Amino acid sequence: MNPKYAFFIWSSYALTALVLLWNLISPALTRKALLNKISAGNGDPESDE
Amino acid sequence: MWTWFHRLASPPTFYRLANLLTPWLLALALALLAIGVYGGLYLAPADYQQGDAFRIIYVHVPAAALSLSIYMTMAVAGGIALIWRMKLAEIAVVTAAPIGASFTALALITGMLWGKPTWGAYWVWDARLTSELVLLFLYLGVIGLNQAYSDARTAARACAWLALVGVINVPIVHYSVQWWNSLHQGSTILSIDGIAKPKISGPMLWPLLLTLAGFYLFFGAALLRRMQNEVLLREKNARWVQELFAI
Repeated sequence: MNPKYAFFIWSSYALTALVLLWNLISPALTRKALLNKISAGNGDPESDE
Repeated sequence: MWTWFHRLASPPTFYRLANLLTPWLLALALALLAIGVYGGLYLAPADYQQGDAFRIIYVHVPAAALSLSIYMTMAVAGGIALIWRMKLAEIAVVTAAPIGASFTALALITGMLWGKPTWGAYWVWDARLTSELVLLFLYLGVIGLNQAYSDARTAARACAWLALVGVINVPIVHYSVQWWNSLHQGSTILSIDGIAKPKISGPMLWPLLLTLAGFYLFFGAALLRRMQNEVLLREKNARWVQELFAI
């Protein structure tokens, strides 16, 4: 690979990896927080949070 | 068929089906992306005019294609949400927006990184680039609108309207390179002529088709995951959710 283009090519692929990772991690973290909330509220029928 | 459609639209059925499908979609997406990226970076020959800079195509084109397809998906889901008031369609509109925004931003930035060595500039106020930037603002508008309302269903319906109105920008982005003089090159494979007679040689084409398929499958998995979260949030007090997570 021509080193003249290395910065542009590798930056593009690194950014792509970041976007894919964010799309994987962000819903996983939301899900974890949500499941904790649901599990915590399981014994409390009045809980709406 | 309608019975099947209605059953699928029920949140518990959707949740279980999504649980089943997501790992397979994700595994297939990552496998296709790995092979496609390897093929694009190491096996495809350098372009005779652009040299190695053309290798950005393997992430830029799938991101750009996905940015348009996700908005189309949101508009279709928005139409279904407004006409039939289907909860899952409302959820699809609001959960697809952050994914669409991230891929639109990726298309714009990788385009800038491709533009600098090819055109000599990171950005030009060209019809394709400007309309793609408008698409990013539309996605951000949907995300903002969703957060502006306290009632999730009202927010989703407002987002559905914006998705429907904003869909006019999708053909503008796609045909901008034909309608106006543009620095941006025309469609490589996403045209009837391009499918019949590809403008790109076989050794360069197959990694692009793999990364395209990988991006679309990845979107499927990411959307299902986000929709599952939204279903859980909206249905957190429903019996099926309580039973699902009973300790």
